[in-house]
Amino acid sequence: MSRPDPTSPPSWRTIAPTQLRMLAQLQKKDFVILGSIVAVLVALSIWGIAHASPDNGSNEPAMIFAILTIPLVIVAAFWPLGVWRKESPEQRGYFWSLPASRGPHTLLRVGAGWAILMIVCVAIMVVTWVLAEASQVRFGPLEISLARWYVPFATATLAYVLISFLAVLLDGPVRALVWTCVAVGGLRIVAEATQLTALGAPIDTVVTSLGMALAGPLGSAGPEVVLNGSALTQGFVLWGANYLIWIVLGLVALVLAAFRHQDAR
Amino acid sequence: MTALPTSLSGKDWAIRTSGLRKSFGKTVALRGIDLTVPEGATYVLVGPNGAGKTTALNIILDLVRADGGQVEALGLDSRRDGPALRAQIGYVPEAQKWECNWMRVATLLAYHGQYFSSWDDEYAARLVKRLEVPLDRRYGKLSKGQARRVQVVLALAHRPPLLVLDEPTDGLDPLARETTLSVLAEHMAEYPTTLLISTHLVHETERLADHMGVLNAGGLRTQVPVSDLQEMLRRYHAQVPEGWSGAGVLDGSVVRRSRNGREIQWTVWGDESMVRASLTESGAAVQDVRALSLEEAAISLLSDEETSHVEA
Repeated sequence: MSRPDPTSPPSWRTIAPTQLRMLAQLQKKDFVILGSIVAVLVALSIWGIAHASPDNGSNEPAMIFAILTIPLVIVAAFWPLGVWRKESPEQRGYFWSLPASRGPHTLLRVGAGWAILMIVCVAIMVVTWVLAEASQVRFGPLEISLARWYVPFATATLAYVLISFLAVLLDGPVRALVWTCVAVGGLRIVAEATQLTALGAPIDTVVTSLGMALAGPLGSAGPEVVLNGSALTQGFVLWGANYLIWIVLGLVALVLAAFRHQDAR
Repeated sequence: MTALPTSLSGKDWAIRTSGLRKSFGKTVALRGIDLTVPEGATYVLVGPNGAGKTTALNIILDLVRADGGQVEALGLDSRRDGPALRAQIGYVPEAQKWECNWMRVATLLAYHGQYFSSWDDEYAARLVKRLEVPLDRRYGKLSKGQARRVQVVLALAHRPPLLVLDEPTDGLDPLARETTLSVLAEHMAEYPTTLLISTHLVHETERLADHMGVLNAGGLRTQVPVSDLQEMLRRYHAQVPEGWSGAGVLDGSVVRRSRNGREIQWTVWGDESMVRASLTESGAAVQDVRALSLEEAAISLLSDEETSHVEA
């Protein structure tokens, strides 16, 4: 068997598990915090199931999508901040000094973070499934197509990719996000006040599209979905189109950010 | 008279840069330097804070991209072959605190070792013991000196053919400094290694150095073998007559000059007998000539000849 060349950089097959192990250790505290939040939510849900009326529309099966999608999007949006904790570009000297190509190395870290996020999502979904099973006792069988359980994973992935792009590129991703929201909100107010549709309409389109992509089919279809099955199908179509646009944009931006050479400081 | 050399002769280079330029905004860090580190040498890069030393080292590792010029190290282009090059470099950065502050030292060593196929756990353990590195503490909780020693272990334990050390003894107490330099000397003796060490504490590296480069304000003032420096650089103390206008023939060779009335003290690069003859010929009476230590040489070379202290 040939020995590895002592002067060659490590293979990606070596680096990937190393990054995964490192992140699992780094995010131990995140798991504890998340576990506590999930525990509280479970307790609240159990209380809700025990006290809700079977006639209450808010407990319709389709609401499970909303129940799962939004919390997972929030968790996923914060996740990259944990993956790159104390490793903003200005503090990334050690990571960059390791013998690995910067772009793929960065993407591998992002990928490792995503893999752990998906495990967390699975854990949350299992908890939700248990709750849904429990709710059958009171509300009858839930009709959720198994094929549609990918939606929360997909929306969480989108949130993760978009925030990862900021975390990889910028020293202050949260600051950048807040300022972007302020700028967009400000422009929208200006457009409204001046009735400048040429400015307002594109902003609305972009914000609505991103909102649909992150909110999932239920959010895209609107509240009537709980009453009308065809609205849910329409919601899937709308969500699918917007999701595709944003995930492609997010991935391209992430790859460009990962491969952009930034000087160590 | 010979001028101060800025290039080394030879053909086997561990590192060779040509016309390396770098600016950060309006601040010029490097002004086209041609650094040449011979294979197997211990090259000490000397310069004050802000001279461009760290920038030069960071460019060699491809941590910073040059605006112009080229770097070749161990036969590899640092920009194109960055990962392959870094796999062969043991690096101690200027910064002592890293992003991996949350890791325990033992975890950091294991993590780092995964990236180097030549990582030697046994040797790492020996270094840990010798440098008294606390394995069970978080890296971020270590003192400056302890963090520095961890970085030295990380740099040496994969026995790289090239070591790039940026102020490696910065933050160490005298005893730890002595131990670290001894470990470094033993490592060099045991494994064939080229060492590029940047420092402003020249006296510490005197026993290791065989080449010296002097970097000031982004320019390479000189780079010479230490043996040449000891042979060619002298401080001349002389009495000069009233109205003495200086030995014009030495222009270009005078590294530093100071004058106090009729007494002059010149640091000159050149053959001693020729410098003596030139000074005598110009009317100066040479009273004392002495060789300089590496630190004195560095201080002389770093001072600006034109603006040095001159008392009439």
